[in-house]
Amino acid sequence: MEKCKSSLRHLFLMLMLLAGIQCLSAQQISVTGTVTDPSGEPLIGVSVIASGGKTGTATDIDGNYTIKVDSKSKLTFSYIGYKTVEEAVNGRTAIDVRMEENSAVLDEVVVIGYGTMDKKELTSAISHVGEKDFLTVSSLDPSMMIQGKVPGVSITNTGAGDPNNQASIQIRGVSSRSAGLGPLIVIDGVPGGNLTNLNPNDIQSFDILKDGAASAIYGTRGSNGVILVTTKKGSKDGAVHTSYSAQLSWDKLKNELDMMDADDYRQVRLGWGDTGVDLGGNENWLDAVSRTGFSQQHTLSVSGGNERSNYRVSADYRYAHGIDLRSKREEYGARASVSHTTKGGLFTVNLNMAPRIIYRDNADWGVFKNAIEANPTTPVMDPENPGRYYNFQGQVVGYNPVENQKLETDHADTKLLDWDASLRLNLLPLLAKNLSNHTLNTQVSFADHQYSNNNSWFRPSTSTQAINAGREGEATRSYSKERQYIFEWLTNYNTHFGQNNIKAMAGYSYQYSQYSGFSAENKDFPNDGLGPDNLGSGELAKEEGEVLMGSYKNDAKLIAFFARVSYDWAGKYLATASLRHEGSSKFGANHKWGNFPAFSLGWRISEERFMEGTRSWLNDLKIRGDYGETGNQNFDSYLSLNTMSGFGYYFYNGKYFQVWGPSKNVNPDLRWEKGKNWNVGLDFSMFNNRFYGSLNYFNRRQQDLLGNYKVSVPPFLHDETYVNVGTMKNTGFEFDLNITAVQTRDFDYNFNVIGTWMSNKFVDFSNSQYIGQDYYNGAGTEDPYPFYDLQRIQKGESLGNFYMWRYAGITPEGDWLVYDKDGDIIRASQATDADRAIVGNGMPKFTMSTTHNFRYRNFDLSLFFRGAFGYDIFNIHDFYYANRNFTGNRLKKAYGKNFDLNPQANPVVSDYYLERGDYFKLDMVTLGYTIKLPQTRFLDRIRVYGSVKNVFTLTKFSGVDPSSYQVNGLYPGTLNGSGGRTYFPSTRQFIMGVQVDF
Amino acid sequence: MKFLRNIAFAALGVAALSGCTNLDETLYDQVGTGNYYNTKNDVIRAVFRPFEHAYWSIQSRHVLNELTADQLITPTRDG
Repeated sequence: MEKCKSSLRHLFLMLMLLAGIQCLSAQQISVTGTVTDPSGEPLIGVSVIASGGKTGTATDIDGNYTIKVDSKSKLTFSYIGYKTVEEAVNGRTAIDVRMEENSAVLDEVVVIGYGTMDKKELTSAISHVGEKDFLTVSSLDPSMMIQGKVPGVSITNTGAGDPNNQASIQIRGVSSRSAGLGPLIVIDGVPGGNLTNLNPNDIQSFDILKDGAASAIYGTRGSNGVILVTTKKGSKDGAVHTSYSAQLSWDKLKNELDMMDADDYRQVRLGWGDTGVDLGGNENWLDAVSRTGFSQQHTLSVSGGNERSNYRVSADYRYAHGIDLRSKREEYGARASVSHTTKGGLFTVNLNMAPRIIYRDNADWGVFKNAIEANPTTPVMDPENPGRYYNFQGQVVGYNPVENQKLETDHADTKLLDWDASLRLNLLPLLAKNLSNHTLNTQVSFADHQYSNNNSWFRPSTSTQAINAGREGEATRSYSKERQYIFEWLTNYNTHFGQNNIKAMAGYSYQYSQYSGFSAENKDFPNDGLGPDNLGSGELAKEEGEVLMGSYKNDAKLIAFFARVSYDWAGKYLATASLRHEGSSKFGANHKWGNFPAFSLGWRISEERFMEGTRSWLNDLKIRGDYGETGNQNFDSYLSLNTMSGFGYYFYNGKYFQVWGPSKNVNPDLRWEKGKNWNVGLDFSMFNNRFYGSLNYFNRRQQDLLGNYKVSVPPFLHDETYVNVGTMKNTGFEFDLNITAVQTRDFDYNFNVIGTWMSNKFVDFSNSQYIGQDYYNGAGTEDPYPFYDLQRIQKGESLGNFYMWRYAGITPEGDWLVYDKDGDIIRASQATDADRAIVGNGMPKFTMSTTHNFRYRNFDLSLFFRGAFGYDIFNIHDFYYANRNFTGNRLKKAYGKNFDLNPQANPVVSDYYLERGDYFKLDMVTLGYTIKLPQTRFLDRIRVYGSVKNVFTLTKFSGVDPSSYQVNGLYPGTLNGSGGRTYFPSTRQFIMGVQVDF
Repeated sequence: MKFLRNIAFAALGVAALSGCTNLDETLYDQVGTGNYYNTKNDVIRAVFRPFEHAYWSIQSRHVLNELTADQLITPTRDG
């Protein structure tokens, strides 16, 4: 017993000893302290995390914190907008920290093609727009969040009130005639993405590669610029963050055209004895075809992890209906991203996945045109047959716009799936130990896109349009599919020795895309209840000679080898050179592969010894210049090949044979449009980074522009060949200035001003081999007036030239007078084509925007203005509606300033209708309130905000909102590139949103 | 290390193989001249291609002869 007791005592002593050792090795102490900003004010909610990430806390309302940690551990203090501070505990029990603000300007990480760089190292023109600068607009198209925010990037959305309308993006001018004009979209490094598959709340930043040196790494797709989208990734602070955000918005139509109402119609129009019929009704057709647009969006996201393994998952739902009666969009999607680095940093695995389902009902933009010009005495329903809509047969308005939306269906189901996976191997640890000044890794990645669209359209037999066409219902179905996969292999090597820093990258890329689809239509169905879902039951297909169906399939391959080397000496002298050797299956056999080189140089003058005297106020000053060659291969497949296709019929052996022959002239020289771009720029930051910005001058010359050229027959089989001829030039100057005017604890005010001067020139339509004509006309007017082109694209002139007669007054009878080519006044009816002249230009010479951000305590206010100057618009609605000749409803102006025009005379395409398009608008106001709740049990932070979009516009233009006119593309200053009058009315949007972080 | 270098060279070699640099187009909804003539009817269709215009223009001349007055005119919609 005694023995047993002593052994127990020994055991107990042993345990005590062990516990003591335990205590010595990890002595837990309590550390307290205060965290303040540089002015000594306490910072609330700073996260304090002990090394290992197992314990953490946040500072309270007085900036105080208490944490129990190992006496030998390190504490990490982090707070948004401030530099992260690390303090070793070393047994101290009180650690006060003064945090310094992040001079985010210079250390901002900018995403470049196949890599990233600090902003201070950049030697080319790349614009970075982070989340804090996004507009809180409600739109399906994430690019609308940066509309007007980047100099040189023109983002226009002429149908912002249509929930299914995507914006048009054009970077540094028009660069092609018949190949695509849109930039390449790269989402998380995967080229060829679609912005519609992005939830705006998942986007962390946009980086826009504007100049040739930056975009040349994307070779044959770089000419129109590149937009790199970076999505949010898992958090690395060891905590799990949950966030919910919701946004509601309402769109109100702006009635901009002062049309006659039913009373005006009866009293004024019919009162003057002008053409018109009183149909007995009293209708405001614009009200009848529109409603208040509405949208709601909800996003839930969870992110967590640490430096080695992290994840982020988000899911969203969005519903929107437009200001017309039919358009609707309902979508839901998700995005998951997982990253993991294995033990010792050997492998890093990344996986991203983003599915999305969209159900759409499409708007018919024509309903607004019809509503505007419908006779206001037309009733909506037929008074003699109240169950049926009023039949517009015989009116200039082709159909009843209410009926069109209520009876017809135009539906689409879209499915999008983007996913990619990459595996990076860190080679250096395998090769040698302790090589801290080298990194070498190699990465393979695979990405896949699958997009599909299933469309259906149906018009029932009760529709007056079906009745007028003699049809018992009409229906169309179509399906289109796009698949794309990309395999890439990249190797990165970085090293520094002495003052030399070298970064090198080499890679291979293989991209395959395939497009296919089919469509079928039929008419005369036995029952309207079948809708578009039983095409086979229609009668039309039983008739002989009706084809009623079609299908297509094509594919394309892009293969590239590329490399880039960046070198800098002491961060002072910077140089980058890159080369992409790329081929596309679309190119002709003689030019399958092209080389796209680029180089850029930068000199950070502020780092020089002789600038030491300026260090007190000048933080950074860099001049840079670059040159890059880019390509554009955005045209159809199979254009270079010798293919056969069907033509007419020949009667032979008692049977009609469709004859077949070569479908086009073979062009084995077909190749990319080649862009030669150079850019010089200056970046600066001064007064403790409170004033920073960039200036850029660019010159882009696009050669080998594609087009159809006349050739002689023989030797050619066809009289036109699709060839690379033609040259276009864009030059411009961009500036971007950011100023932090006031920065105190309670009040901040910062603002920026950005602007772009642009000019364009179509240098030539010909080369030594092919002689094209020196001009061609475009943007023609439409019925009911004679067809005249508004614009002429001419050699040596800018795009957007309005080319028409010059107005010289009217005769006493109200007939049009114009100047002839000699300056003499003649009647418009006698004027010829030769009397037309360049009278204006629809391309804005100067576009600008300015953002003003105010913060008072927890309130923030942001004002965003933008404008375009130095251009003309042909007031298309005045041309059609403001005269007593138009048979549809007229503008009140027809009986005001244009009353004297002869009612028998068609309006004449002349500079009478040309007006200055200059405008300046308060595009967005956002007022927000943020509360941080580090002490509450369930929440971290709440932000509520309200915005108004399109608040007011200052302009002398007398027509609709000048931003309804398209300024991108080949015919700027017109409605969507044509001389038609169809447009989507502009809207004012009211937005309310909330974001809750848990 | 030598082993790794060998792998790298082997991989580069694989990448340079024809499969990874082949840019030939595959025709799906069109037919290339090289793959056109396969049946008798293909030949008939191609043979009559040059005569198609003649066939239709002769036919319309025949129509013209049957019209007794100036029914065939080009209307001007100008003005």
